Amino acid sequence: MRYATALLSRWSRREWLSIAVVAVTTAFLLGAALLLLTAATYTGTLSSDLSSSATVSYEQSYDDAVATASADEVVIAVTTVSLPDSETRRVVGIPPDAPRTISGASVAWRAATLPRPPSDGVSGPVSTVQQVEFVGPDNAVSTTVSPHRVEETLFPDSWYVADTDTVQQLGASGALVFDTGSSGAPSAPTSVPLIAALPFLAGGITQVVRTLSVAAFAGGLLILVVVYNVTKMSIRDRTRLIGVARATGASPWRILAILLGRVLSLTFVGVALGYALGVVVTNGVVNAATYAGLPVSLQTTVTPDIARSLLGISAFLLVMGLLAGVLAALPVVRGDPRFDQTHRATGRWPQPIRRFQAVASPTLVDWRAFTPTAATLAVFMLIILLTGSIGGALAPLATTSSGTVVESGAAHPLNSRIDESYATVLRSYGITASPEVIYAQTRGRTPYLVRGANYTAFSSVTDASLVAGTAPQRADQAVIGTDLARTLGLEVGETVTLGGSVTPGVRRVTIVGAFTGSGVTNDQLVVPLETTQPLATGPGTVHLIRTKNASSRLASLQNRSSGLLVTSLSGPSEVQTNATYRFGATVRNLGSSTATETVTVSVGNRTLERDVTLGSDESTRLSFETRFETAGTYELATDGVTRSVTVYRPNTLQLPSEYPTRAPPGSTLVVPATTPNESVVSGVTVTLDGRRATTNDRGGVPIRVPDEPGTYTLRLSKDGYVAEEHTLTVERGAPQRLGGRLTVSPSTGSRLTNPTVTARVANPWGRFLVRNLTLVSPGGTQTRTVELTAGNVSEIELSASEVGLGDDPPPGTYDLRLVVNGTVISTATYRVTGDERVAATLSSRGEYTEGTGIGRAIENVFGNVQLLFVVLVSLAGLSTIGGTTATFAQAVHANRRVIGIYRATGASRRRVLALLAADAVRLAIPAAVLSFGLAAALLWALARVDVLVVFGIRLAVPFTPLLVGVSALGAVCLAVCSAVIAATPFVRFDVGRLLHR
Amino acid sequence: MTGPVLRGDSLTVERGDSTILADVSITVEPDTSLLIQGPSGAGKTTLFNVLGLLSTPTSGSLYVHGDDTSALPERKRAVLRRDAIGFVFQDFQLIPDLTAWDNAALPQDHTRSRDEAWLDTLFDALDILDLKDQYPATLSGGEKQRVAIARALANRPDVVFADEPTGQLDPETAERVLDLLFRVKDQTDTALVVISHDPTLSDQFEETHVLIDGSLRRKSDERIPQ
Repeated sequence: MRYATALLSRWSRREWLSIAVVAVTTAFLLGAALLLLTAATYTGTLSSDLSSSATVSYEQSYDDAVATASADEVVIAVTTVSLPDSETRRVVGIPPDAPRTISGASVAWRAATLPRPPSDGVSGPVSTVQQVEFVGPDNAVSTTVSPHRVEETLFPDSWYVADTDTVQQLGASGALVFDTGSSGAPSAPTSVPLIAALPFLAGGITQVVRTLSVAAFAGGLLILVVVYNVTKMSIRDRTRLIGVARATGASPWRILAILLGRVLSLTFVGVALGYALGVVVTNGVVNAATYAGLPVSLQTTVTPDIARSLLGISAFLLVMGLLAGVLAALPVVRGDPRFDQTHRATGRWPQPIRRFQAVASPTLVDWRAFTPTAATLAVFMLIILLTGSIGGALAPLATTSSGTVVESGAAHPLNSRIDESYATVLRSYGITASPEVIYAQTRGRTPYLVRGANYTAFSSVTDASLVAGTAPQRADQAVIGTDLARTLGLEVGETVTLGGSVTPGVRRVTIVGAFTGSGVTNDQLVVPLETTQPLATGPGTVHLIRTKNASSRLASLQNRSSGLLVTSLSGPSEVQTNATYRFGATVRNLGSSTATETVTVSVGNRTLERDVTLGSDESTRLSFETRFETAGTYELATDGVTRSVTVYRPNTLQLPSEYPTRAPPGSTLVVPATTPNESVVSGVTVTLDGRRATTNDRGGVPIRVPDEPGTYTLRLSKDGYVAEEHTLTVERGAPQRLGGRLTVSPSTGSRLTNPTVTARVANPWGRFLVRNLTLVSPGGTQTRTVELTAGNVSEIELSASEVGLGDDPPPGTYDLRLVVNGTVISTATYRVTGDERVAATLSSRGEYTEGTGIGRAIENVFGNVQLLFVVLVSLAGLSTIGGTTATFAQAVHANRRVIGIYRATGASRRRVLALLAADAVRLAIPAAVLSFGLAAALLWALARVDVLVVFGIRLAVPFTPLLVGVSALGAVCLAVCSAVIAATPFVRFDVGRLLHR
Repeated sequence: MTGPVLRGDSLTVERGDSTILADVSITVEPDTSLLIQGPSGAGKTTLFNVLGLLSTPTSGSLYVHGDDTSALPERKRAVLRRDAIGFVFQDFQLIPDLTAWDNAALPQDHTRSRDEAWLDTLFDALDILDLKDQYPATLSGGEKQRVAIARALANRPDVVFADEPTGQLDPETAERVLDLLFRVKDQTDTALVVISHDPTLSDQFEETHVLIDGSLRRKSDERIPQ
């Protein structure tokens, strides 16, 4: 075999190990890159109908803006005026030659329309034409203001639209410059896309890729360390071969070239394997996630663009491997040829230093292992710190005290449309809720998050607190997180231009306050809902409702994923003691599949249970029976539905509650004698002012009212019954009205409840009456004529839809009135509760999740983001273990003869391993300190140059004692484990082999 | 102590297809001196490693104080190397980062208790007391050899193996080293096994064996009576 072949070939186990480490590192980097780049492509295809290159920027000087405008730019004068009511408003001046629409900024659902001023005067947010005096910066102008045309334009309705001349007369305070983007010229650093969603995603991905390059650098460092160490070992094993080759005249450069060939082929195999592994593993994870039914919307396909990026990373790693080879090989090709490893002499140090050396210096490895150890541990620290900072940034997304409600079945919170008023529903249940709009925004090239929210609500569901200024009072005011203010270079008092999110538009908001909060909370601009809705979700709709402290309530409901809900309880409202009380519970299955559940109804301090199985959207009525022993008022309750029952002793006489208390002299009343549950009692003695009568077998008896006005007592009595006494005022002119009772059953319901309304009218008088009966309900007014003979009762039952309560009434209180000939004789109230059970329904179909919308967004884009995170972090961990193992293997290999001597002179394997572990600790402690410093300094530097800002979110390294402790301990453990792994083969070898190899 | 210190029985070492040691049997009695001669490539170092428990033979048994070592775990083999056997390696095998004194004390360090008085005696006997704080790099070949001898005797072994102890030394130094070995052997009642290709050595040893092509033959018949 020629010596060159001998130098190139013979790959031992450690070469294959290093190939594995290089492969894993490459796979980790390429896998992460592939995912992120695919996500970028994905958002590109997703938003193809949002693509727009049109931007808008605000210029301080209108004249300058006109002077410098290019052909494809439209300059619109802007000014602020005071109105007579001392309000300030914006006025835009549309030039006469302005295009109707900004080309390239229109989307299918909205044209990017520029408003046109009316031919005479200006248009504004008014309902009638009026004369208004505008006080501008330069002049006051009195003009005719007519209502805006009915059209959606790029500007908010609150702005006045005039022609350029009017604005210039008032004094233009600035200009909005629309760039249609057709020229392709670079836009101004503060220009804002008219539709920001796509630039937001694209810009964010660019930042992610930039951050990824930090990871690539770290991976490159690892590969450098591993390849260097392995090459060093291979060269050491061939010292004699190389020495003899050089002694016999081989050119050093030829030997270097041969050694680099060896390194290159090793690295190449590793990188190639890693490339395949990265692509395959990533696809595998995505496929597995899809197979497992996770909502993965990614298709990892290697397009030419992605392939270019991946090849770039691979090439970088290959170069790092080559560099390692040069570093490892240079010493043996420079200087005199050597045949054996040389040992430097240890100098003589003063006694105290030698004593310190004895403790601090390693026994079996030497300090040359320090640099690669520190480098590898720096990568390890970098990973820990980056993970910590990402965790810190995302911490608010994963809190258990907050949650998010989005639209049923929405694939992404951005696709969700949910009624803003749901927040009111949640609040009525004591849950803190904030309806919010996710508003993508880009300023220059920097994407950042705008949140459409009422700041008070926003701060109630987050930990945001104002540190400067005030909360927004008006639609054109905003508050900014302090981190974002730093990222964008904005201060309180500045006015920023916002583009639309998914609908083209322009808004100007003034930052009136700054707040701080943890993690991403601090990286947002909070703009009032009404400003963001028209350009993101539409009026009255939001993407999501964030809740706080609702978890225990909603999560307990969420656990009941069956979707079975009791919608109402029905049964008599009164019952005798010890009588059987029968009532029903109506159950509906709102879930998407058949479900079985036990319905539990609490009655007083007892509970009744019934199992029920229902298919999707089926409903049934369950019957329950119970008995009450003592009189009183009891509450039936299940699942947020309640009903009260009055329990009375059986032998009680009672007049209806609506029985007349006034009567004209000489009239006749029909007295109905009943028990409280309205069963008639015959043989009851009725007395009134000395008159006496006995009820017939239908429980009634007419009795004549005294002729003298005054106050009398109507008394009903019977042996064995509790008597009833009723005060009757006899007065002239007292009306002979019908008695009426209006009941809504149940009196409280949810949006899913269909209440029944019962109007009961009774004629308590001893004569035939014809009356007009009117029911006033949310459904309108219904009138009918009733004819009732003496003592007769009529009941009219109306369904929920007949009284306007049938069609999902919004939460609130509804009044119903029963009117007879213009006089209200009975009222009833029906309350629709903002519904915990609505939220339960949402949750049963998976719309409620813990965490926040952005967390969901990440989850939806990446499927199971935690799984990928774990995979990536483990791969990174494996790489660092590989790196430190290679380092220690090299160090041990260099001193294998010393280990041989130790073992030859009787040191046990355990002692050798213990010595090595102690050495690892000695090396790792200073290396950990150094590497922590290096990693922290690197992250600090990266943060300074804004590399660690992704989607406007600033990643801050949380230097908590815990993190520092974990990383330090982790580093030392890593070093010790690696040392033991690396040393194991050397303590297994024959001692003779160690000494004489 | 009765019985042989060390007894090898049919020791065979094979590497791939070649046989390095073939059926070697040898007995080392207490307090004797034994020379194993042989030309280069005869398997001397392999025999040295096998007898010193540095390598495991392919087959055959090695008895130390009558106990079969072939079934011993590495932990117990290490204890035997520490307490019963001392080595003087061909290339001294001193640890460059340790002083002469610390190098010699290494076997004692494995038990974590140093017998400094004994080391002092050894250094005195070997006449290297003034070199105790020097590092191997500053020692001459003969000095290194003496440090190596001190280390071999540090734990008062029953047998000392010396592999080509004179191989790298000039004849004068070699003779002095050999004398030292014998003097120390006599002082410490240690058996001495020397492996060497040097044919001039045999007259000083009580027994001489010749290793040729992996086979060991006793040379007692050729022994020159004193």
